[in-house]
Amino acid sequence: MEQIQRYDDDTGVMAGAAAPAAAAVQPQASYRRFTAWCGAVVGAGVLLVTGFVAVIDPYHLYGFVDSPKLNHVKPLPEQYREQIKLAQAAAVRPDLILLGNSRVEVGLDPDSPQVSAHGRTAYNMGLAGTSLTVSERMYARLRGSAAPAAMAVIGVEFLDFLVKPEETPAPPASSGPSPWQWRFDTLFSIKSVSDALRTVRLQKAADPETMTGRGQTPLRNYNQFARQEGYYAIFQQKAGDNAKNLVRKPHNLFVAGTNRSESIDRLRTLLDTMARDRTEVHLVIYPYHAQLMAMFEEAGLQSTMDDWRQLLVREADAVRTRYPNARIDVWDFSGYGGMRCERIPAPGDTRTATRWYWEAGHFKSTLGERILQRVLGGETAFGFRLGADTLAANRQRIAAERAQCAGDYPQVFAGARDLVANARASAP
Amino acid sequence: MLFNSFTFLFLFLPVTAIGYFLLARRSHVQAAGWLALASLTFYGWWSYYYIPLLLGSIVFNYWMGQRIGHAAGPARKRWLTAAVATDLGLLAYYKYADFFISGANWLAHADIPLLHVVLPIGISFFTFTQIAYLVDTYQGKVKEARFLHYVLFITYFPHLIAGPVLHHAEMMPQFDKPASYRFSFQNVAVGLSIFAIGLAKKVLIADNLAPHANFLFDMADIFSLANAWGGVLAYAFQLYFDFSGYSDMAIGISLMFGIRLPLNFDSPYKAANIVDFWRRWHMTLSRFLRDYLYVPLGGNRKGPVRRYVNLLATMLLGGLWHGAGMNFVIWGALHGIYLVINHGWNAVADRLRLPRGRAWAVFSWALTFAAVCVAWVFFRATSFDKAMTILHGMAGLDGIGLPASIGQQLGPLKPLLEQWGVTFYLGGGSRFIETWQWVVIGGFIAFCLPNTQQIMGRYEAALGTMAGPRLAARWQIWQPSRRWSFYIGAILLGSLLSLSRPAEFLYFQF
Repeated sequence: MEQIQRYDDDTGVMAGAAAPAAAAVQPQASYRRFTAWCGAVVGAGVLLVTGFVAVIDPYHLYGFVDSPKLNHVKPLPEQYREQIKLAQAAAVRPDLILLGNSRVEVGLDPDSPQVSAHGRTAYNMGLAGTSLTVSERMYARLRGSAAPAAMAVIGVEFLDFLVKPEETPAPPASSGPSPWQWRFDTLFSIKSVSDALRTVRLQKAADPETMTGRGQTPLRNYNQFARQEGYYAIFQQKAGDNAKNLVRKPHNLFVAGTNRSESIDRLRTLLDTMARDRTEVHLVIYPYHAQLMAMFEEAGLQSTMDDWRQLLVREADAVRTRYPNARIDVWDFSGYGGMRCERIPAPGDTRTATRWYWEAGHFKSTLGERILQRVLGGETAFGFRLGADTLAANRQRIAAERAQCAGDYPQVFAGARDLVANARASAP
Repeated sequence: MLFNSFTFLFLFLPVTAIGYFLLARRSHVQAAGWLALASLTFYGWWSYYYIPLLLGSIVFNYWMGQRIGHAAGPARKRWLTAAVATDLGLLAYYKYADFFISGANWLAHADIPLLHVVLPIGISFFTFTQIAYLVDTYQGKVKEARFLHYVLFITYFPHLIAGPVLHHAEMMPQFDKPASYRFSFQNVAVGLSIFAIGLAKKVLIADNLAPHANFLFDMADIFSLANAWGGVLAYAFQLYFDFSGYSDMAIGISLMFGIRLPLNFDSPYKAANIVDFWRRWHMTLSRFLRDYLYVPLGGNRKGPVRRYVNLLATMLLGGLWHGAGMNFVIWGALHGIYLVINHGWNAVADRLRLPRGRAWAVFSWALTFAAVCVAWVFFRATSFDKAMTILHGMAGLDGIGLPASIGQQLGPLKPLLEQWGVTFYLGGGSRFIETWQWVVIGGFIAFCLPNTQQIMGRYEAALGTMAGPRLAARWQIWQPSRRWSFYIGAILLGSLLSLSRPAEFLYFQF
């Protein structure tokens, strides 16, 4: 070592060469006391934290206290939302379940008066950012803890059905965290503590970001964004993201040489299970805003979307063949007519509020009410029941609505064209 | 098994410690054997497939060490060459096979299929540690050579996965000392406190910086000045708190067992120049590279030109040690160039007797930190093109963009900024604010607060603890008081609350 230390130290240090620090002379008892106090602080802290989280109950899991001043409104959970929703649903024991992605989670209100008027108890199991794989998994788990629902509204996402032909069908869905793990983490973690604190703060907030006790996340916090930046900014930001996503999407519905894809497989399994359970199923094609429909068009996805509608009808027919008692309706709420051609407020306009949409991909509960009204048997022209014999009429409907919307609101088509062109230009 | 996991904290560590001190009452050999067994369990928790590889490497190197020690004349060198070549061959296969094949394919326009060999965790660390042992045996510097102590020296779980890079001369004698086998509340209290600080660095700081660094390097499509710097600074602080946190945890855990590990970090981002930086960053690797690469290459003994070449070569290989990729080579080369410039500048400044006042010190520190950050871009980026895109943004060549939501809050300042060329883009406001919040927190702790060994300055908790500047405030110096037990208890509680999703340490990949 000495030999080495004679050379320079261009690249580093030689450990062990430092001057000794002043030795601390303390009786052993002081270290023992220190360690004991540390343990006591940690132990007391653990009790305090778990007690606080359990009482505030940010995820609707315990129900010890329900006070409008303390914890009635709950925040939107950022972790374990699937598990939390399943636990809530098992407690609610719904006979109407709403399945799908964020469009269902945001737009369909299980507390709707229409639902209770029909004597139903609903739970919104929609989950943002997920596909039918998760919907199927959640439904299967719910069946394990509650009786099958009498009715299901399943939102189907066109974009989830687009696959690369060379894609192999996905492996079985992952099992997720163990039950003890998510239960532990929702009681004792920095997230659960911050959510408990957020719950207390939310009670006085005007537009809180919440999840209701029936699983809806109504995006009330978007009201605040709209007041600050205007709806145009919200629409435009989401549209930019959608455009980048759309130009990367493949245009196929099936894996090469098969009539399958992961979404199709999951849809078949889900529909078969529900047919066996005698659950009345309503497959819902979402009411995308005209801006998004125009972007599908610009991305060259229009004919694929039409093929997809036919696919849904065929799959529903196939289930009816396998299970003659199956009750399945396919509803097309997409198009360009009426509400779907709602005007986007002008740039900088922070006063005008939209009535039907938060942005082109997410409709508000006001529009969700119309969907529920339709599937629950109400009299409304909104929503088109799809069958093999009505596909052509549906195409004509959409074409007519498009012509009308293009005449009334050409800017939405021009804007969509620009967005997709820009996304193509900046695509890697 | 991760240090930052409930399994480690509440199962592995207590069981290992209780077993160790109980056995130590009967026999130090049994206690050392227990610790070695526990260390292998710790390693096997990751992947038991590689336990035979680890044990094989240990037995082989120990046996070769014996051969080198007992041989005389040219045979010693032959044994050494064979042993080091085997070690490097093993490392080359597991770590660099695909790198070399890709290089050969690129050079010869060939299409040799890649092997996709899975890297055994910790292989770089246990290979280098053992090469040092072999070289020192050859040079006649090895005094302690008991097999059990050798096994423990290599497998000792606090350092096995990600260092510090240990030296046999500082470790094996400790395994022989009776004092190392005696339970001590002082060691537990001091070790626990150092461990708690390290754990907090990892789970409360580094893991919160990670999403913001990852976003820039993996997902972002806007690389304007503030975005690029925000993400790169987030990564710079993440890496520091992650790795120095691991090192603190290793030192703290080891101290509870009565064994002192060498210091590995000394506030590297406070370094005044790049030479100083390498005295403070991953100190045990710097020491290894210096003693077993730079010095054997000739160090500074063969003139200034050869010195610079040696520095460059050392840093290039140091870069390659971190991973099989051109990005690591570029990172190493950049640091080599920085060191050469630093030494060259020092020579010129000395000759011209340039003044070096306070302003110069601040400028020098800022330049050093910026240069280190630029190099980190290559260290972290997944491709050369991505690194260049980020550097482009850091240079301001992608403009100065801010989220529109921030622009809304600026009032009359916004049009003024727009006149100066600042643009405002939709979305990304929360990400932008959170990134910079965490960067400011990370920067404040790294630049303004004392480091762990300064806080524990009354104790020689680690080998090579520096006699650094005294802390101005007494409250910053640890002592076994009730006040400090509240601090450490609170830090531990906060860290335990953050263990729900344990994240791996960045240096595990090396």
